[in-house]
Amino acid sequence: MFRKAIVLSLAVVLILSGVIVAAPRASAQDEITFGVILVGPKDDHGWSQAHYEAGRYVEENLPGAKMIALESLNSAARPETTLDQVVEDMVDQGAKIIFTTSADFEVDTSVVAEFYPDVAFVNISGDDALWGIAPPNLGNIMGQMEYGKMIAGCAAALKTESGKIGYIGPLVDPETVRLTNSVYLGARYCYEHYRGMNPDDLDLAVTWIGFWFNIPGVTLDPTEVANAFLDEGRDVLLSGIDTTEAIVVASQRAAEGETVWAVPYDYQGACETAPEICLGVPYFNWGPAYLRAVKAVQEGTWEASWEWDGPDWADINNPDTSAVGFVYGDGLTEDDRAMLDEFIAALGAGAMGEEGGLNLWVGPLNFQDGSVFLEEGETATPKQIWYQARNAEEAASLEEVTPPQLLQGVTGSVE
Amino acid sequence: MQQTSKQPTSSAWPQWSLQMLWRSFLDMLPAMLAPLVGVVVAFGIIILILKWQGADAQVAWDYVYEGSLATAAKRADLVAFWMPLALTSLGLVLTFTAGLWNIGVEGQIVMGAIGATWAIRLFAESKAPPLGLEMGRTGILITSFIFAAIAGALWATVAAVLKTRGGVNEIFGGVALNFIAQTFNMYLVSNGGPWQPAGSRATETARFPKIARLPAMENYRRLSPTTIYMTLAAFVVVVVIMYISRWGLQLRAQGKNEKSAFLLGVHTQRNAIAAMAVCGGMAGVAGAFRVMAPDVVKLTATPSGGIGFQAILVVLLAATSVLLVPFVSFAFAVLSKGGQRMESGFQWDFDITLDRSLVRVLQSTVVLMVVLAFGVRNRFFPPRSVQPIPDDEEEIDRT
Repeated sequence: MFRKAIVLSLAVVLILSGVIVAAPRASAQDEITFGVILVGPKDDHGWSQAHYEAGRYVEENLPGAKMIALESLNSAARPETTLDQVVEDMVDQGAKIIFTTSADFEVDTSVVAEFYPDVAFVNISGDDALWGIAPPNLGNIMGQMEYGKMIAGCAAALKTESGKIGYIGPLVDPETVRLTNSVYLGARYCYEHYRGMNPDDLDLAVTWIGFWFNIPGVTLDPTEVANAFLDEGRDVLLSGIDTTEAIVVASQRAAEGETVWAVPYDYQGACETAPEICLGVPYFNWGPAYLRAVKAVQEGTWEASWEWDGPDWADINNPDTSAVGFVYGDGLTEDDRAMLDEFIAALGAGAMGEEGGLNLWVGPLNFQDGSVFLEEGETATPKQIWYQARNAEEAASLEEVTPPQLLQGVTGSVE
Repeated sequence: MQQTSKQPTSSAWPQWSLQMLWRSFLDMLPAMLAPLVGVVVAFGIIILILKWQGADAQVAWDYVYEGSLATAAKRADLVAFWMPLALTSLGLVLTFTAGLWNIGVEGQIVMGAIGATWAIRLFAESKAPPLGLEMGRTGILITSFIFAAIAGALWATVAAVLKTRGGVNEIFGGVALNFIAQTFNMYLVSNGGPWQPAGSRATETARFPKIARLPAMENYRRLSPTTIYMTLAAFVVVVVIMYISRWGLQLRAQGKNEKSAFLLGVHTQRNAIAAMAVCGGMAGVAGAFRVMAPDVVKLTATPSGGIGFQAILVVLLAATSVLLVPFVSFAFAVLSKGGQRMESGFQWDFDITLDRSLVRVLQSTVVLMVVLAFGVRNRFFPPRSVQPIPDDEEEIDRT
């Protein structure tokens, strides 16, 4: 008993002295603390993990930088707390910049940011700063995942035997509709140009589960959605949600002898769940953007802006320069890879405005309700792509932008 | 029932001897020790888990304190979370006393949240409120609470009627109704649902207008004193019901033995529906607390987030005693708030990742261990009141 108490108090003393010794050493350098608030678990092999790894990347590349992260901030997992309270904790801990990494934090971030005018806030995937309605200390960052999703759609089109692919979507908003349409455009293009098939025969279906990840009893169960897709004869599953159900279910069904493939999403290492049936993963590489922002805050040069970062077309998988990448999975053959290489090169040429480059956001493109998105030969503007709405460019305010719509030919509904 | 309980128990007092006192003390001993043993065992398990995860238990305790009680700001946040939990638990005391396992309380909270939001949409956000009722802030807040209470009560009544008329056990009915309420809530606020503002990307309604927000305390922007007063009032009401009113006595009777109570003239079905409705009404107001909290002020994707289930654990741990509910729900709130700080503290200061569900595990383990301890007591040290001793008849009636 006595010995235990001694050991325990020794341990406390050791830990405390470690803190005391560590503290001045760190503060001797240019120390900066930054907060990262995640909507899901930091080890979800998806959206939230990608952000957590970006924080680690900043810690590795900026001496004196320290991340404080809170995972799973949503009212189902943490009914006892709100964004306001978490931000207060982080500011108390000395955070100078806080990344709120979900669309669900968008409104609350703009409210809380006003309480802390000296702290920089970055809402990932939001658009407050685009319309000038955000407080001056709130900016937005997003990656141009359209390209990643086009590559994903292309990979699916190269592999499907049934011509039917399934997309597990989270909830309906401009971002998710944009990404679904991107998959469709990429898949159509490759089905026609590399497979020599009629693109109108390609069937892409989307089912929205209702949130960014599964909340039992609240959302549709993505595992069931994935199984239902496979039961319908869809042989490639693409994930649009934060977590890995698509590849998990596909690998289970593959183990039962079916020929099915999966394309996960968000996180570079997502294929590791089941490499052999993985066609690759379009992923976000938030590290460079995080690093720029934290550095700017440290140097006092940070200004709120709306940032939409694209791939580094010289090497879309460069960890230091590319905001969006695509890792090939083991499910791809050498031929598949060669075709995808060609497709990516063409997209890159198009994005950089080179002659002969490929831009899939060119009309004629119609929405599901038959209305025109892009006229024959018309190229979409960034705002039109962001909102998947024809009137996005001329709208004076966010409220005037028409709701996003799926492209004609996609099976599923945004209602 | 009425006839026998009229006999004053005090008539037995003079017969008490020192021996009887000793005997009753021995009887009480296991009852007092059982929860203590349960809590100690539960904390022992948690300390082992912490050790296994490489976290120091002493430091963990410091974090719990820091995150819940250390500063006035933390105490304010603690109270803000405690109030809806306590209010829901108080309501559950009634149904549990009557032998009704109101698992549907979670859905009743959700429906209350929806009801309050609906009232706010009707009377505060709409340009033409129904019946031309232009209300001030007080009127809108009162109306919201009334809507919330009615919504929660109706939802509970559905479960109660399913039980009394349809023969559906309230547990199964409650589970189904929870699911329906939560799904309905999601429909309203997600995927361009009717209550999700156009162009919004968050799964929630727009923020309520200023006129429909609960007044916050001057120095603590997230705590509304209104919730404290209302919960306090509910506590008094439930104490009166349980210890003074005849209705409380009837609920106890039918909770102990529904058939006998019925044969003795208690309207068991009517009581069951009423108990469920009152509980649902209180849960509904708790739901209103959740959405009208100054740092929320909107209907979120999951307005309850499981505090209904936490309240069930609270009432189980409090052995359905209304007097214990405030303390037990307070302890649960401390563990919830402190547990979150414990998690972030170890993460931020020591780079140790504790499991997110550790606090839920702790809460559930405490309840499990206490219930287990009571079970062990009843099995091996049965209290005299459950033994058929004729001269203890008064005591049976009293409890």
